[in-house]
Amino acid sequence: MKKNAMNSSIGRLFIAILVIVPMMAIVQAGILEPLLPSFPNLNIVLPLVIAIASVQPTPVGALAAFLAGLLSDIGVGLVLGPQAGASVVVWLLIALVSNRVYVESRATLVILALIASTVFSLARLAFTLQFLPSATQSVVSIIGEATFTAIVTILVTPALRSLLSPKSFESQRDFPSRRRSTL
Amino acid sequence: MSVKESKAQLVGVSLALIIAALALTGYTARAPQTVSRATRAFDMVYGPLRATFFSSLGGVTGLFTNYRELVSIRSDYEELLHRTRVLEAERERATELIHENNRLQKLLNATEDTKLKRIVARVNGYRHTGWFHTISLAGGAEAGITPYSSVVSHDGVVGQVISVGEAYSRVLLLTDHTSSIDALVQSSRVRGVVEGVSERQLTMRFANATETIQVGDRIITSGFDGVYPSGLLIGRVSATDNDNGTLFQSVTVQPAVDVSDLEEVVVLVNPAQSELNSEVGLPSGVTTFSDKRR
Repeated sequence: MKKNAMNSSIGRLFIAILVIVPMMAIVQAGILEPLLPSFPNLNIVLPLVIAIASVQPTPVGALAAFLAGLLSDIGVGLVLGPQAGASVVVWLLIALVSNRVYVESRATLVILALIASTVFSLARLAFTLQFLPSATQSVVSIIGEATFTAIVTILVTPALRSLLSPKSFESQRDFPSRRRSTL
Repeated sequence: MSVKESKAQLVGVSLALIIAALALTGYTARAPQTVSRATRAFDMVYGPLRATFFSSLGGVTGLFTNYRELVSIRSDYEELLHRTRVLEAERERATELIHENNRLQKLLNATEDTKLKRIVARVNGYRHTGWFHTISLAGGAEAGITPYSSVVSHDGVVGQVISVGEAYSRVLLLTDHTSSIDALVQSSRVRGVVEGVSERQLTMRFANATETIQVGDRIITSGFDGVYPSGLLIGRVSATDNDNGTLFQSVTVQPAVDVSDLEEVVVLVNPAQSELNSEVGLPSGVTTFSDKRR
């Protein structure tokens, strides 16, 4: 019974990734870039990776982060792997510290997102440079992307966490009458 | 499983995935066709979703685009409004200049036959009280205006200069009760003296009662008073009274000039008069009897 529930929540996690990453890519291409052309790039995978790391600090979570990064790589269409690898690096970083820091706090989330975004950009660049030495990214754009992504992360991570959290599924499914009674 | 083992497992899985990512990157960097195949598959799956999203998004982005265009249009509108106001002001100025030019042209045409020196001056002040009818001109001795010069407009006689300063002159209008002009009835050549009564009325005195003067006859200057040259229009006869049993008939004259509506006038300066003034000790027109009177 418990195993079935766990499988169900993992399946839901992967389905959510398959839906959320393309949706975020579409939102980025369809809304953010046309409306805010002078803004820095938004790292669409990072909020999802942070949410995955905080709700799934397990090997399944690492796979989910890899998948999210890979989908983003496919969306970009240059080389496959840099964002997948960077996502795993960031996921590992957050999964290792998530037990020690209070990730519900917004201030913690901001600092975490800033660090994670910077690490992500550097890791992605390192991955790319291994095979495409002409690839470059300026420090200013890394900082801009990190800041913008941190702001967006604060806004969307709580929603992503509640969407990906197996507990929320369980509680909604198992105790509907109790939820109604509290209203 | 202990925490250490769990962490080791996480790190192990992550390292494996990172190595996989590195391998994938290396492979796809050397074989870009793999990426395009993956991208095509991605588009095949998510293309309809993207199309639906963009079609529904069209309205929202259109709203933002319209808003930005509206802001831009508003700024353009304000700039155009400003330019329109500037152009309107310039047009008003040009219209005013055209009117002024026409008036000055009329003034010069009306006095082109005279041999006197013509000085155009702008009227810059009125003094119309019950008794005194004078105007002041923006131009005086430095412009060459002298006392006792006659002042005319394109309609006819305005008055005579009674005092002159450096940069202004005062003109006694023909409607002032102290003004007297030696005049003739143009058609019958009957002579008389035209004096001021009110702003819209003059009277012609000393016209012989035996002569015939009709309403509408033109009254012109005779040139015998030494101030006004001959032939300038003073006004038209509006009424006559020959039944008062005296030697002279009473003639009412309507002035040709509307003295309340003067903007520019021509001062006809007689150089001989100017020399005469110097001979009798009047300075170049600063003080006259009129100033003493007032």
